[in-house]
Order: sequence, then structure tokens, then C-alpha cells
Amino acid sequence: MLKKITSIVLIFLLISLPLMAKASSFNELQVEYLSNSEQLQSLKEQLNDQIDNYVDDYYRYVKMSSRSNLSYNLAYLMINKITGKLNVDWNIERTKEQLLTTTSSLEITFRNLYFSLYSFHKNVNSMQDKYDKQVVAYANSQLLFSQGYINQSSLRVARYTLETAKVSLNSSKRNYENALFSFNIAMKQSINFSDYSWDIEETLLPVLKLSEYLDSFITYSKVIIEYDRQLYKDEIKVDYLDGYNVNVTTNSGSIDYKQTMITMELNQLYKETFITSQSKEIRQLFFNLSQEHDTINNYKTKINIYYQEMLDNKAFAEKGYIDQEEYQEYVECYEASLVTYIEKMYTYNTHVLQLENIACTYMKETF
Amino acid sequence: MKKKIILLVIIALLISGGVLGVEVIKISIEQANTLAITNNPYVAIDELRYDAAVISYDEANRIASITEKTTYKGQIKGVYTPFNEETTLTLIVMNNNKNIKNIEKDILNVSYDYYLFESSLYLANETFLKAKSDYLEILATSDSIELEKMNGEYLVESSRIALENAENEFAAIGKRLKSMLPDNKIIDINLIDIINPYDLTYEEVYESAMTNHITLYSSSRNMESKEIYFNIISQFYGETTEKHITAKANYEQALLDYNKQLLSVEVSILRDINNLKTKYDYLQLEKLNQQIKLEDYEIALTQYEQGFISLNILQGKEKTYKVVVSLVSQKEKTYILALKDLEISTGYIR
Repeated sequence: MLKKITSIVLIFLLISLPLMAKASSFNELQVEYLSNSEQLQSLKEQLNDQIDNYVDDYYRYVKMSSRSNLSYNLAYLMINKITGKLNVDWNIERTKEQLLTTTSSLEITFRNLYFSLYSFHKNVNSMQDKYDKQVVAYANSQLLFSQGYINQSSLRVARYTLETAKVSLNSSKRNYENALFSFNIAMKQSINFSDYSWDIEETLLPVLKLSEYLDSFITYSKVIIEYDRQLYKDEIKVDYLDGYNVNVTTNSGSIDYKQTMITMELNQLYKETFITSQSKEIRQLFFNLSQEHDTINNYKTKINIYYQEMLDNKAFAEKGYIDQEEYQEYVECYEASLVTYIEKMYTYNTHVLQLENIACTYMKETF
Repeated sequence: MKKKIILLVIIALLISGGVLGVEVIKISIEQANTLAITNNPYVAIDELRYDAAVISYDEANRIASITEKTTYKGQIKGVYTPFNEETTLTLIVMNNNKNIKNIEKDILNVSYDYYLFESSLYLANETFLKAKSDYLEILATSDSIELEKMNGEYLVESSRIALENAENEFAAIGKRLKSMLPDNKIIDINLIDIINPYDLTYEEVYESAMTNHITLYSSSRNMESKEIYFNIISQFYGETTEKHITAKANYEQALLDYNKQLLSVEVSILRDINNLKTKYDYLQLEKLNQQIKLEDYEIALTQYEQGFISLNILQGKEKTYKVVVSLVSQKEKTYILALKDLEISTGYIR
């Protein structure tokens, strides 16, 4: 109940109070976001508990194993002892893997939150400009109408255009408000982004070779590691059952031996199928990235053209060949292309991170 | 003047429905809801599900009343199980209400679609008739070239196919409507009260969601249930036992899930209210456009009567107006359904 009340208080604070904290850089905000994550905190606590209780867990496991109904046999006693130790070790490894996977996913989530905020913020500015222009245009139309140059119908159309710009502006403001609200909730505090200098990357993230992504995936994929663990445990079991010849002496041992062999075969097949399908996905993402890279390079040329046009028209405006308003359109066109360029780069970089996430390259990190 | 009256009658008929379809009987939204709920077989199934849950709930409480609560099993039977049965029963009631609201949403949806498809059918018919008369004119003109004839024939054929599609779509929506409401009844959309979303406050909707949001309620009760279980375990099992550790972990997980769900509801309420305002703004904008197009048409009609413009131009203006009327209905439908969705998820009714 207390948590509920705290949450209600937080939500009203987020809505009613205009500002609490000034926004920091992307990296600082991301660090804060990750450190606030309850999911990560819970995993870290779990990991610490597992490390602290390592010895107790191990002995508990061995004790439990020795009570197994098959433990009268020396082979099963050995199998349970070895796999018991492996299970305790692997539980710690699994939590570490989960911690890295969650961190990687949260980083992508944070990037998306930050970028959608940036994107909506830019959109509000652009819509505000359009609306301001329509206000002027409508005032002109009113003047022309009063002087008898345009008819009632044209004035109504001008008003409709003005109203459309107003609705678009309000809609973009609300989209920004939604994004800001989601962002602040994720950050668990109210952050003020007015007069904020957006910290958006202006370089493309480096991409590894395809073979490196595929190798990383094979080595670090959690799913593959789990299959390998299971296969390894089953191999130990089969070896001991073989070594102690128990499979032929008891019915239950014999059935267990056969079942384990079938499970191993199945797991091997599942593992191969998984590798094939995910490798295909990685290849696809990799090729999409190279296409995106080419598109961005082409777009750079387009920006240069816009830039050149803007400069040319600046000269024309200075000489009086075109009016200032017309020149302003070229400036806006160039500025809009820069925003699009940044968006394209950001999307590209997010795709690079997604590829890294699937290929588990983050698993190379050490604790 | 006579032409003006005829055109206005057509427009009025178009707006009110019943031009090309079966004669429909317009009823209020409340009447439609009552009829649709009475006719829906799933409502009866939901009621049976509720009866079964009441029996389980009563039985759990009966057992609880005669159970000694001093042992672990006694606590489970006496406290934990009745609490969970109460959750199940309340969730069934909430889900049944949600299903009823979904039925109401479906009737609204189909009623709007009926008017929209009727309007599309009318426009498709007009286009076909125009293409046909243009083609006949081309054929009657002695100096028409072959290409003009082929083009005219193509336009007749394509508009005929479009008309056929519109007829099929209209027939399908008529059948859907019939399956929901008997005797060709339909909601009179002109009677629907379009509330202003600017009158909604976040706090009001939030308060309503706190008691009516199904997933949030389920998550909150799950948290409480896990807490009850953990308290029971704590009385009978030591802190280092597996049962104690597992129960504590489950309770903490449920608490995390609940907080996550709460945040998600908070975000969605703000987003939904904002989206409603945007939809409402676009509806108002389209109504303004409709007014402009009607005035355009009226001016064109005067000009036509005075011989300044041709019949073709007048017909073009009339068609534009009809398209905008249909767009207004489309936008109104989008807004009304979004409002209904807010009511379904948060239980908020204004």
C-alpha cells in the first residue's frame, strides 16, 4: 500500500511540478537509468546471494543428490556429485549472463526513450515554425480580403490551413509530453529539458565483420550455452553409466541410459536448428546494416546539394534576385535534411546495437 | 431552386442513412446496448462462469470458517485460499463487465461502419453513373477517337468493379449488424454525445483505473496473495529453508511486477488522454472543412443557377462535400471508439 501511495505521489509530482533536475548528458542519464533499474538491482542481489551461499548451496545439493532413489548405485552417486557441483556453478554463471543481457537490453530501451524525446522535441519546434508562418499568412489573407483582393472562400481555406497547423502543433506537443512522461517515469524523477543541448551521436558506430558476429553468437549465446551445459551433463551421465555398467544391470538404469541418449540427440538437433535460424537472422541484420550504411552515405551527398543550394540562394537573396522568404525556405530545407540525417544515423546505430544484442558481443565483458 | 432542394434532400438522406440499403430503424445507444447484450450468447456463458466462481468462493469461505488456523495447512485453507478465491471471483466480474463493454464497442463500430459503407456505396454508384453517361456521350460524338472510347470504356468498367466491391462490403456490414441487433435496428449516431476530452482530468481517470484496471487489479492481488503466503511460511519455516527463500523471492517478484504494471498504467492513461485530444481536434478540423465544403457547394449552386458554371463543376463540388461528410463520420468513429477503449481499460465514464 505504501508503495502504491509513493507511486501516486510520484506521478502527481511528475505532472504538476515543472522541473526537478536539469538534464545531463546522454551517458550520465543512461548510467542513472541503469542504476535505477529494479530489475538490475534484483539480479545483482541475487548474484551476491548466490556467491555468498556458494558453499552451502553446493553441500545442500550434494546432500539432496545422495538422497536420490537411484543413489544406491555408485555411478549415480558420482553423477549427482559432479552435476550438483556444476549446477551450483552454472547458477552463478546464469545470473551473470542474465545481468549482461538485461543491461544490454536496457541500454537499447534507454536509447529509444532518449531518441524519441529528441525526435518529438524537434518536431514541436518544426511545427511551431509552421504554425507561426500560418499565423502570418492568415493575417495577410485577412488583409487581402478586407481590401477585396481575395474572396470569402479563399479566406476560409486560409483559416482552415491555419487551424490544421494549430492541430498539428498541439498534437506534436502532446507526443512530446507523452515521451517526456515515459522518460521521467523510467528515470524515476522529473527532468527538465528546456534549453537542453541534445546529446545525439554524430558518428556511426563501428561494425565488426560478419564472421565475428557469428562467432560471438556461437560462443556466447545463452541458449547455446544452456544446450551445451545440458549436453555436457548428459555426457557425464552416459560415461558413468557406461563405465559402471549399470545400464544393463537394472531396468531403471537401462531406461534412463536410453532416455539420456535420446535427449542428447534431440538437444543436439535443437541446438543446430537454433544456430541455423539465428545465424540467418544475424546475416539478414548485417546486410540490412550495410544497405543502411550506403543509404546514409548517399544522403550525405543530398545534404551537400541542399547546402550548396542554400549558399547559392543566399547569394541571390543578397543581390535581390529572390526575396528573403524564398531564401529562408532553402535554409529550412537544409536544416530539415540535417535532422533526417541524424535520425537515420541514430536508427542505424540502434540497429548495430540490436545486432550486437543478438550476437551477444556484450558477453565478452568481464565482471 | 428545385435542383437545390433535390440535392439537399439527397445529402440529408445520405447523412441519415437508408438510401440504398434495407430500411433501418434507428434507436438510441442505450436501447442498442440492451438489445445486443440480450442477444449475445457469450453473455450467458459469462454468467454461468460467474455462478461457478460464486460456488467455489462460498465453499472456500465455508471451509475457512470451520478450519483451525493454528497449523500451516489451516492457515492455507483458512486465509490464503479464500483470498485467492475472492480474487478469482472479482476478476470474473471485471472480465464479464469488460466483455459487455466490448459488445457495446462492437455495436458502435458496426453502426458507424454501416453509415460509412452506405456513403461509400452511394459515392461509388454516382461515379459509375457518371462514367457511364460520359462514355455514352463519347460514343454519341462522331469525331471521338478510338483512344477516348477505350478510356471511357475502361472508366465504366473500373467504376463498375468499385461499385460491386462497395455493394459487397455494404452487404457484409449489414449481415454483421443483423447478427448483433435484431429487426434491422441500428444506433442513431446523431444521438451520440461527443464529449469534450479537454474536460477530462488525468487524476479522475487515474482514480478510476486504480479500481477498474483488470491487469493492475490482478497484479495487485497477486502481490497481496504472495505476501499472505510469505507471512504464513514465515510462521512455520525458518529463514534459511528453501520454502521461506522461495516464498520471499516470489513476493518480491510480485511486488516488482505490480510496480511495473502501475507505471505502465500511468503512462498509458496520459498517452490515451493526449491521443483523445488529438483525435478530437482532428474531428473538429474535419467539421470545419465540412462547413467550408458545404459553403463552396452552395456558392457553386448559385453560380450554376445563374449559368456561370457547368453541371460538371457543380457535381464535382457536391461529391467533394459528400466525401468530407464521410470523413467527418470516419473521424468521429475513431474518436468515439478511442473513448470507449479508455472506458474499457480504466472504467472511466463521464
